[in-house]
Amino acid sequence: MTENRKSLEEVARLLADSHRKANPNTVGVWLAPDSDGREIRLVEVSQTAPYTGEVLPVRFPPKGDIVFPTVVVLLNRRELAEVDAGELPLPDGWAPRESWRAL
Amino acid sequence: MATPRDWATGYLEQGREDLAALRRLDASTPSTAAMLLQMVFEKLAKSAMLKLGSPLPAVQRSHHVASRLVAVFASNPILLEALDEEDGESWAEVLPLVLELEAAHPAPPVDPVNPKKRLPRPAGTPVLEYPWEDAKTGDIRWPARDLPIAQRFADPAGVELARLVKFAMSLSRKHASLFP
Repeated sequence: MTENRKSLEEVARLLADSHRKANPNTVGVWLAPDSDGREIRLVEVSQTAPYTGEVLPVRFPPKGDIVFPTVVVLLNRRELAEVDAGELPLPDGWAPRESWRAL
Repeated sequence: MATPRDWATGYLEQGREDLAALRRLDASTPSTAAMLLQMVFEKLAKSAMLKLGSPLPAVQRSHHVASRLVAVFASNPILLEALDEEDGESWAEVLPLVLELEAAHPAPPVDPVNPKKRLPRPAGTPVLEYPWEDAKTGDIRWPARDLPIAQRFADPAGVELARLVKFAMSLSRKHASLFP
């Protein structure tokens, strides 16, 4: 179990690095823990993401070296502030900001 | 008799319906996500162009209206500023992707010189929605497996799908204020 969680975080770091490289305007990437340890949940904040006032998870099945299902939530800075203030809800079952780990 | 403004409302609302369907999809069906995104941008663009005074027949006939909307944004700093709010540059980032989706529409573009005709599309050009024949090998290819932008959408290491969906949501949300 511990080995599995470690692998998930390692893969999450690979993804975070790829996303930063693809979008240099990314100002933060966090791993939101999945209590089942089955999927990678990334919260990413970009300086250039437009404000929508919504949290929309985009889901990816495993592919190649990314052996876990992945869910990405893209936010802009204002939306992150609204998440912090409890004004913008995260997807159902997602852990609160306090438990996110910066990648 | 329906006015162009009535049509603009219809295009906007149907575009929002397409976007609602897109929200329920994921990257496991990337070619469908690409098709829906193209449909969303086309309808939001048609609504905008009608509000800006483009003639209804031309707007109805063309599937390549998003590029005209892009040109409107590019030449109008006030619109760009309103679109981007405090962050800026979001439009510039996704612009090539919107144009790539539009170029993959199965219908060839209308000939601007003779609007009743369509321009020829080079054989073997990958398109949304339908299979095509590879010009070199003669093999049949299809969007779910072979369309370049759909392949990129399926890659969890990529960021294009999330960014395009986010942008479509933003354009839908601000449409009425950008194009009153």
